[in-house]
Amino acid sequence: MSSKAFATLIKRELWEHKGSLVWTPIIVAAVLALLSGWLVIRGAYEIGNSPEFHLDGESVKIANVAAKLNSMTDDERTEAVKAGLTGLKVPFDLLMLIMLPFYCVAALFDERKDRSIYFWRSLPVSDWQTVLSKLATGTVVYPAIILASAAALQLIWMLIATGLSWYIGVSAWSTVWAPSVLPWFWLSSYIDYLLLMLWIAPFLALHLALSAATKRPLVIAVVLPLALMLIEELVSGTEYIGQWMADRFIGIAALIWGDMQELADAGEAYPFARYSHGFEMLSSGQLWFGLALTGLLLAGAVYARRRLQDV
Amino acid sequence: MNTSASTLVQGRGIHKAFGKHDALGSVDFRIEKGRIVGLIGSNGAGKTTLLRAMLGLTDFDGELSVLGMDPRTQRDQLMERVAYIADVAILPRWLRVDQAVDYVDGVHPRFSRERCMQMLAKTEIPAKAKIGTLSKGMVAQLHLALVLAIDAELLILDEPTLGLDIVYRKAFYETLLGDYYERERTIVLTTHQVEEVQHLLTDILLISKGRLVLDATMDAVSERYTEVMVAREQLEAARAMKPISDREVFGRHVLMFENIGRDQLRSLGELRTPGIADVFVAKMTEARA
Repeated sequence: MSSKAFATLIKRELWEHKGSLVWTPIIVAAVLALLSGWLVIRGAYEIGNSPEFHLDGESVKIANVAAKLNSMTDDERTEAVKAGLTGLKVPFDLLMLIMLPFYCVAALFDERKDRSIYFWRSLPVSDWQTVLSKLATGTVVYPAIILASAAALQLIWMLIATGLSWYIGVSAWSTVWAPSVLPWFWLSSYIDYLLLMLWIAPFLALHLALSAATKRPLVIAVVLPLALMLIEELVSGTEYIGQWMADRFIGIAALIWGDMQELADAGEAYPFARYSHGFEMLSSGQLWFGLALTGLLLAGAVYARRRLQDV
Repeated sequence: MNTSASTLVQGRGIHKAFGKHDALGSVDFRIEKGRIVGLIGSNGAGKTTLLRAMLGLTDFDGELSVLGMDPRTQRDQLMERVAYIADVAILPRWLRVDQAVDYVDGVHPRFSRERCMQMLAKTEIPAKAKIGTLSKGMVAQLHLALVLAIDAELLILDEPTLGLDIVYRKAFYETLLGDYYERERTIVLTTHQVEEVQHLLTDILLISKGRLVLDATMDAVSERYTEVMVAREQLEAARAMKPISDREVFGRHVLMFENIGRDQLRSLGELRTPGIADVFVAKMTEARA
């Protein structure tokens, strides 16, 4: 299949799920931007021309803030700006983690429900191409949309921080922009997302398989893991399945918010080559086990799409 | 199998069962290049199953070659050369008309956007409309425009006009026929409204309970079947010649004969060539008996 054809399949996904995949992150960014603007205007109004402001009941002199900012090392600045940028991304991380399962559960189900599958399958597109295009939309294209929305909000905050720097009387470049290394931050965020997708791929593939094979994919997606855990508990008294899933969830947090934890632990700051951190995951046997499982589940989705057309 | 170069589809011993029910008995058939074949049968006769077998949409037993390919294993390549409108002709409601054109253009190497736009220009379908907002007739027009813009050797239409009013049905078949004369295609279509398509068919496959009961060209059908309006006094003599159907219309008996020369029948009463619907009913009744 040509790359033009595969790109068309992805476009198709974005047409169908424009509201959930494209508009929702944009709206979240817009709402947060408005809130930020309101916060800044309110702050400016309260502080006015006074040389000090109150934070947690304590009086803070603006001159002192400037001195403190100027005394920070480069690493400290980097850590602080990075923490801010990562914090701004959290709502988008959560949005993505919530929307992805819904997208996968619907991806191969809706076309069966409205029977448009007969139309899609009347064209020279194989079932593998279809399933992979849906997976690629969810794991490669959607994270890029999420990041673009987050980046817009981050840029707005960079502008706010620039204004604050000028107000306080420190250099915006050396305090905010230089330490942010924004292009690197975005690149490493995207790479983290891709690593995250590899890590949660078995769940997404399971959702796609249920979407192609069952009449109630959403219900089963929720009930199946719980049922498996319960059966294991009753039959053997062990909790391997539950533990395995818990590990996956911990992995999610470690992959996208790992650095926040570092910050909380007052760990040493390290430069923005932090994607090398996530790459350690590639040597994990669990990752490869998960990917093997993903392959099987995707094959199941393809088989089901071929065999069961109607809901 | 003596498959000549002009044979597009050849099936031998096609069998398909759903549980204990045989959807297709053991069907042998052949579709020649450049024909318009009507696949006619009542509900549940196996028409759709046979079409789906040809499209690789269902498994079956037996030998089947479509454009020299086995639809079970080569469906993806086959769909480049076969265009198909399903009886449940469902274009997704959320898709916009221009997106539908972009999509087929994007995935189909043999699609002509220009040709599709020309056909759409003749309709009143708004380019930016969501398919869900179009009337049933417009959706069928759009689907036909998409499918005819594909340079497909074989066009398969499964009840393409189901649920459309007469104006759209007529326009649909006119467009289809216009296209057929313009380029080299082979068309297989199924429909309930046999009378409406009989003038455009060149061949007919009658199917009943999973078996082919008639496989002939339309010319052969008009030669093979004769209806006679039999006068009352001739009725006994006529019935002795084993008609395949015998019905009374306004007090007169209309008997249909198969493979009996017109010279032999002329003495029985007024002769005429039966419509395909009458042959269909007669063959179905015969198959049931």
